[in-house]
Amino acid sequence: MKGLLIKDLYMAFRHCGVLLVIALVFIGVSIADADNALFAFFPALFAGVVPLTVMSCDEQCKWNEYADGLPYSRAQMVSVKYILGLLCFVPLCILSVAGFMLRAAVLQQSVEAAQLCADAALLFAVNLLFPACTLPFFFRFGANKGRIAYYAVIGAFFAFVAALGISSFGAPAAEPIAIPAYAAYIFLGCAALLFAISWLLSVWFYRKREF
Amino acid sequence: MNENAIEIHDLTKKRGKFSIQDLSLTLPKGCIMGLVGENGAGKTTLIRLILGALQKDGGSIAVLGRESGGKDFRSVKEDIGVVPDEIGFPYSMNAKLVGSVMRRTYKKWDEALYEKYLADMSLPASQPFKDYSRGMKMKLGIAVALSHRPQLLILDEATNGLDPVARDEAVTAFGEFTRDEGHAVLISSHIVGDLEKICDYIAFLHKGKLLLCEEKDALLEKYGVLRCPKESLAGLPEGAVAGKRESPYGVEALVRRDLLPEGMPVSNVSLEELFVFMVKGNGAAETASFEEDFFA
Repeated sequence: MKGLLIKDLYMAFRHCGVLLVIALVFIGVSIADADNALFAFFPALFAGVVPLTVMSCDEQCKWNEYADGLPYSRAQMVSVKYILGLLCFVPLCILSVAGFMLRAAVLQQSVEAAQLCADAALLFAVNLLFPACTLPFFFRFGANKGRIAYYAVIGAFFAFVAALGISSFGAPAAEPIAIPAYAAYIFLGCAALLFAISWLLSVWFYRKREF
Repeated sequence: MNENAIEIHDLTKKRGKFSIQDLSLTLPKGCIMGLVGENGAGKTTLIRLILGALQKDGGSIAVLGRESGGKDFRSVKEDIGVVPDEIGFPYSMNAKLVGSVMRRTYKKWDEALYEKYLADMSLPASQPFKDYSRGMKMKLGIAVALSHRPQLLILDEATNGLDPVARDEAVTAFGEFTRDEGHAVLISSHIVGDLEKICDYIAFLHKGKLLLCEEKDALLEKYGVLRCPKESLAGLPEGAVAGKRESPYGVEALVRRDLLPEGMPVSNVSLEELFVFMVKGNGAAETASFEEDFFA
């Protein structure tokens, strides 16, 4: 599967490398806007887009049909996209948390370690949920129709954020609904479980898909 | 040891309105088989079934002695080189990167051989794939398909888009490939002239059905073209006429030499003529239906 991974990492860097620059801009914005730390955490949210972008490129150049002639199973072709998602969001999550800490240091704000860990767990969970909810649609219907699921998940995420009234992470917001730390970890566990189910579902869909 | 590279028995597959029906063919090792058929005849579907990329509805397909699409079929693919009608490398990649992906894909990848093919085919290693012409893309596909030293080559319209010189080089390369008796090639093409040059076996596919699958030389020996007045055809034995084309000046008929009375002036038939006669010359209904599909 190494070959597939090398190809996908190259594609991710080639087509999504600009996300790193945008991530740094967002961290800068979070420092400039002392009232809103959410910007520092945005970069991690980009990670979910990476496997979807690579899948769209694959479909455009007919890589999927070509790869059927290579010594890879359909399960491997699916798995590489989930692994790519993990490989992208872990560093971006770390960058986000580092950005947040830099922001706190620059603005001389105190950071509550326990709250920061819970927020990071929440961030990881959201990043797991994003590909978990969208990738099965991409594998079942292809990139074009799968995009509908992508927009639906984005919409649902922002509706969720708005409903909770979350305006800042790591520090108390104006009047947010407080999310207890344990809830963040439970949420992360559920997201991980959903990610695993989504992985298996995508393998099942893709094995049946005919080009 | 299995002596056949591909063995297909009673294969059936339905895809929407199109279906492959009870198709059986055998490609022995050391041979090249040409798969001829008009657009939509089922050539690509058949090739994808052979590769296990599509699930068959019935019948069996064995490739290099293993069931296609079976659990251990991945290891069989190590010994298959595939050139599809569209080479699906990502547009931004170049030949060098393609090589580094394939090195980690095939256990038997021969980097030196790949570089030799790139040089021989004058393919710029650093130029993005999107900037390659169709011919260059095909050449790169062929280079990749040959660089892991496969036993079986499967080529889907691989010579289309190549200029005559490059096509001749590719066809020669495929011929050289089968000098090893353990090697075999399945090649589909619209350019029947290419197939006539190199193939040992010819399979005619029409609307998902195999019209025939025979040794090329035997086929060309078996059939001939008879040009005569329309009424002369009526006196021929039953089964002697395999297809015909009528014109105001008379009839051109594809005939079986062994069923004709001695002394009839029969000229040699080319594979292209043979195929066109078989598809278009089998009665008006068949012809009309073919033309509807072909020009749709």
